Amino acid sequence: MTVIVEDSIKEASASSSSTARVVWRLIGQYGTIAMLGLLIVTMTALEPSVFATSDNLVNVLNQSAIPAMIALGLTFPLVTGDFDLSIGNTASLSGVVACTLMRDVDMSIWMAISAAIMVGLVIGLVNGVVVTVLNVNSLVATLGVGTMAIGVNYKIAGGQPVGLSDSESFLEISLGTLLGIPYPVYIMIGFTAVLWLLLNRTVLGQSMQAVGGNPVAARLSGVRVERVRLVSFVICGAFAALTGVLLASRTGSAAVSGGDGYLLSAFAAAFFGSAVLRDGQFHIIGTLVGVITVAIGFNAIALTGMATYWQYLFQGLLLVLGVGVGSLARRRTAAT
Amino acid sequence: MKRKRSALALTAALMTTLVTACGGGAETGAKASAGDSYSIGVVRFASSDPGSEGIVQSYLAAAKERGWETSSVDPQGAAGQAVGAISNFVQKQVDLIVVAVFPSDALAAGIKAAKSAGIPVVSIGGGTTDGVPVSLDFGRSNAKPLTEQMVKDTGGKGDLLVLGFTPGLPCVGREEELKAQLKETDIKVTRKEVPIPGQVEAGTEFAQAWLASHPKGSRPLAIWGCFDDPAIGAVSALRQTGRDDVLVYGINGTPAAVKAVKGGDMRATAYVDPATEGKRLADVTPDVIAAGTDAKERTLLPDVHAVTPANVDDFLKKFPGVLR
Repeated sequence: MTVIVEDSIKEASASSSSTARVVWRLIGQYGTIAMLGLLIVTMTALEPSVFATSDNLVNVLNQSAIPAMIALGLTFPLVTGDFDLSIGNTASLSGVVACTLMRDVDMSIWMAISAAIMVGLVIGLVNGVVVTVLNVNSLVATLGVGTMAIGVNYKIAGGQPVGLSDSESFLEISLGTLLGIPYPVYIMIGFTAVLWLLLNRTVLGQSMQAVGGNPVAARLSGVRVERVRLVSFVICGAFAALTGVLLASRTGSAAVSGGDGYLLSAFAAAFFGSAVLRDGQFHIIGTLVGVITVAIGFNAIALTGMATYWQYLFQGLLLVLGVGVGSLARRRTAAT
Repeated sequence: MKRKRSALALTAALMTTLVTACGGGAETGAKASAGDSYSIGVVRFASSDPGSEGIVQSYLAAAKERGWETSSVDPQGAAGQAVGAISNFVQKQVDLIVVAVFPSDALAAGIKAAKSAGIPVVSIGGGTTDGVPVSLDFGRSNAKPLTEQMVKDTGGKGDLLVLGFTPGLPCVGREEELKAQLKETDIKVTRKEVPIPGQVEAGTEFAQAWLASHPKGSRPLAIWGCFDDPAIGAVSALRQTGRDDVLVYGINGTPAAVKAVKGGDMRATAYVDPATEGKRLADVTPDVIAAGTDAKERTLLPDVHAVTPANVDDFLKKFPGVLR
């Protein structure tokens, strides 16, 4: 009889522990998605006639497109365990390069865009070489390279915004629509799919994840760790440059510090996204969810008329809760 | 149980933030009665920019007094974010959008969206363009009396260190005014570009280097900052080097600059009263909304007060809140 009772207690305890593990695992993987859902439901209740409309959905996705490009690119070095602090400066420089070439050299739009993206590729390559060949910490290396990019930017533009006399065709990249949806939304969806495939369905992508998980084990497994890290910086630089070009096409000009503000928002989106569906790993879908969550928050602030300080409190709290709850849930899952 | 409480507490914190915030903040004015109520969207430049923030806050206060509904967003100095904020206000179908500092022609997609929706945009310091029929000048006008003072003080000759900031449209306008006034003078200019952030330190460093190459008694010497912060940095350099032969000029009338003028460390600063200019914008708002996006373009000129040691006490009596 005693034995039966003890067994029952053990079974009940094991069952309770198993339930707790499942609950915490669900919170860890879906907590941030739930948070986004909560935000959407709350906003729909508060502003049903303005927020929950197809027009506003398109508006939010359109606003997400530019920050998504830079954050998706940043995801690659983060996956390999590196940081890239030059992305904002790269975006600013590429926008200035594109507009300067169009204005001063009368270069065609697509040639100028290509040249600007080449600038991003070169900056990414320099970052990669400094990090992997010179073995400089990625924070220091990209900070230095980014600062050099500012210098080049000032040399080209003299600190002044580079405007275009006839910007209509260039603006069309941002303003044009297909089936009522702006081009940037298609660009965002298209590149998200491409980058997801690259990171999850190619040898290169698997190698990046292996390097980020355990570089020593990856090297022993035959992965060329330095080369993989270098490629991640090149991809990041290219997407930072694309961001700068898209930004210039949205504003109709390029400012020397136009893209600088995307640095922190890209990191915030990527870290928020690391808690989406996965256990703290950086990944493409998570980053996209992070970007869209921030855009919805920004949209909510404008629609509801919140005071400005709420903007900072909300964005900070969202990031802390998103990543914090995920981290807590993973610890609890491991402990139970 | 404790874990569940933790999770609930965290969720509640997020909900509280959202719901409390949506419940209305300091800037959310009460809706006015039908017929004379307006919905205004305000795109700030950056909450940390004292120059434009004073005017924005005064405008919001004036709008609230008149019973208009206001929403404001801080794009943190990023033009892309500002375009997004304008698009959000277009979605909200506001009656007017006010944008601070961003050059109007650098917000093309946002301005076009607003114009397509029939929503006029008013700029604080960004200039007029198609879709932005009204702009409050925040640049050239602010530099005029101060630069006249500088030319008078130096007798139109000597050496001048200019601390400029080209990415900022107000500073570009102020330097245009400076150049125009220097045309007929014998003043030799050395120009340095200050960064933001780091503008005060840069003002100190540039001034120290310039002072070393311009010894006392050579020619009349002056330092002109396109805003007060680098000028305050220059004052620090003068103190460190023990120089008292250089006249320092700044623009914006920040508390530090007015104190420096009162203390004799700065020759002059230019002050624009935010309350007056915010009210000026509020006064024209009904006309701008009525005229719509195709209204005739016009620039509103602010009242600029040159603050010098001779008038600083009277100035502080007139504007007692400046030093707060």
